[in-house]
Amino acid sequence: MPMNKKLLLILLIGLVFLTGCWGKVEIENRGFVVGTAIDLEEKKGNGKYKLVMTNQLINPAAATTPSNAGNAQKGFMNISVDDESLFAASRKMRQLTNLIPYYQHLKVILVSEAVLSQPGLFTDVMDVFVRNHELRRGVKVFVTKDKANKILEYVPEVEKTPSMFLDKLANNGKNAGLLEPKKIDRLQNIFIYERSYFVPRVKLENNKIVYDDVVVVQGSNNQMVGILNAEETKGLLYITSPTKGGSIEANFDGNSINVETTNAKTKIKLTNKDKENLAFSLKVNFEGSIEEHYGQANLLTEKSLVEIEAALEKDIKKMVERTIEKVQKEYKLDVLKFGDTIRRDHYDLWKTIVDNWDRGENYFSKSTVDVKVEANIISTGASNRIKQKGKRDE
Amino acid sequence: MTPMEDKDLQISEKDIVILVPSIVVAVGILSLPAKLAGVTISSDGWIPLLVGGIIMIFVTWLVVKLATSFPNQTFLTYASKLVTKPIAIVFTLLFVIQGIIIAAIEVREIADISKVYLLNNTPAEVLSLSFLLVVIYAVSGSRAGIFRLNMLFFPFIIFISLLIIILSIGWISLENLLPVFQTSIGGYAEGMKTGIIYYGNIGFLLFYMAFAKQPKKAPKMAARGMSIVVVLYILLFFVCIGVMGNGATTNLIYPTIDLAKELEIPGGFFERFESVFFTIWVMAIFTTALIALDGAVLALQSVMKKIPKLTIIFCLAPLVYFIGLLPKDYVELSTFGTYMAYFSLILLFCVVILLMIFSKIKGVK
Repeated sequence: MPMNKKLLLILLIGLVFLTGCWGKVEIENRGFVVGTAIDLEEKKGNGKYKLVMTNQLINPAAATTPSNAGNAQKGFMNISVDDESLFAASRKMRQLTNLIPYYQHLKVILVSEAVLSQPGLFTDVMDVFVRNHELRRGVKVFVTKDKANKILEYVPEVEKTPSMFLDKLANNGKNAGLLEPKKIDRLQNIFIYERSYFVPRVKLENNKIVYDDVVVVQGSNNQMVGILNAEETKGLLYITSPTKGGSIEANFDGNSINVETTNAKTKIKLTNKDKENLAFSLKVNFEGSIEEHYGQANLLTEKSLVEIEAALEKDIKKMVERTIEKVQKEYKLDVLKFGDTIRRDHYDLWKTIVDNWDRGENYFSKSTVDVKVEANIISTGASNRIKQKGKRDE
Repeated sequence: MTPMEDKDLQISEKDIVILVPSIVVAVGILSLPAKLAGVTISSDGWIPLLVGGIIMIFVTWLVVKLATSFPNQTFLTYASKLVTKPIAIVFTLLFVIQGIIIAAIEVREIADISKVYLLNNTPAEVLSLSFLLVVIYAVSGSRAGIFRLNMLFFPFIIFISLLIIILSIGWISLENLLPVFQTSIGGYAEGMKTGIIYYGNIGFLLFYMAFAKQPKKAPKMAARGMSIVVVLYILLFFVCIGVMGNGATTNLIYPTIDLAKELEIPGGFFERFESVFFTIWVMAIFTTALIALDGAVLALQSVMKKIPKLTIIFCLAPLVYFIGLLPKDYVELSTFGTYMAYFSLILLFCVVILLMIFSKIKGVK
């Protein structure tokens, strides 16, 4: 029966391919890394640095059980290793735990200010994250004021791990006036084009995460030059991602009034193309609804709405101008994407100034910006007021 | 284990429409945006893609027109009539070589990519072998099966590609796409040179058109099939640039894969969209490798009529495997692939132009 022998042979060869997956790793042996922190331990000579890499691994046992009272186990564990390169550090981590670090679920990368203050080090440490095939390109990057691995020790109330907390925090940015985090794919573009940029900063104050300011980084050597404080960051939001403006407080009739951004748009235009006196016009179109009012005035009149709008316009304009002033005159770095406006609309001009845009000749700092704000109140909420004089005696 | 006879094989118009994208869309689509973005400014790469595409649509039409002006005759038969038998045999053998090498490159690329993204510890040799064995299995069956397989895979490939393009729209930032039309003429020329090679490999149509059921309609159908490829390429290029920007796209090795990795659709399973994406690219690459090898077999069969099909397959298969293992790294493989693509295009142009001229001279209608 030659047919049967042939069949037998095929089945035997088939067995070779049925031994299971060659590259399998049992899920118990994987260490799911959700967050990574990078700190600078010391600066060695000859341009080398000693870095500390801290990986936050999910603790599967604790992460799946409800975290109610009595269960003191944390949902995560942090492992720190120091080395000259992050990849070597990651390899060393295998010796500390029996887990194989698995980066496909990495959510956030935290980099301390110390790393950013060394020229070029930030791009160098980011390289491994862009190069690695395991990583997703939407990983969020934050700068931390102090040691980055301190943030990874913060125990959030709702989320299981600080990394997940940071990931969600940044996701909830809509309408909260929170900054949009920098994702690693955007950073790659920025690095390639050598643009100056800002990276949102997180810090730990009184054991609470504070996320309201940014660090400004010089594009030419990727070195941090300073920060924009919370107020200036709000102005920054109106320029770069206006819909996330959050709420704004204005003064009306001696009382404070809170307006939420429902829709905002910012348009930047180049109005003077002369290299030495570049002029931009920046127009903010703001639409908001009144959410809170501490006075008794009638808001539902044309006159009061106009007054509120004027007050808002003044406030927003002040904020935006202060941010531009700081960025343009103090840091002399275009993190507001004025340059991209020229690149987009006047590419020929851009080619001639790109090398001296916010470095060298620094045409950016010589340019002028004319800020115009138009505010519109589209809603005053469900009720006009909760207190009304003269109604009491009825 | 005896293969079905192919004597009565007839391919319908729909088969021809699907055959063209099945041949053309191959592993190149994964790196196409990077190569093209490198030589053009911002999103301008679509222009050379479109111009190259229109040229190739015309070429496809011409190739099929030529082949079907001798209805139901094999390439060797009509080429012998036009340019004497020895030259026709040389042409046929050149197409055999093209088929073997294209199949080898596809097999090697799929192994390399799977190794990097999916199966890190499996040796590339084993991956190539398993893929090649499946290809051989498909080729040794009846030829009608190949067309049916194309028909089966094609809707999936198009559907998932369109899905990924639609899902990406939300991630596109206009800033990445602007400014437009800033590339110099030299840049466009360079882009044409880079882009056109991704439309190659359609030489095999010369052999398959002998089976066309309605030879009159075939050229139009083939041109329609090529248009699908052009549209797919342009859309994918746009989306890659729009989502990731020209700078990042240029520097990624397989931007199309990274595009799928970029998308994060909420809700567990779909967060890992690239898994679905991989499936369809393996299908697309499989059909190309399949037709390349089968084309080589078909061409060789026409020269050596006495030798059974299976013998030819078993002779070619080890050759495919070893040629696939020759390049030692990605750089060598990609250079090899580029040269091969130019070789296919030049071969195609030479054969078509020569045969066209001779058919005009000899007055074949």
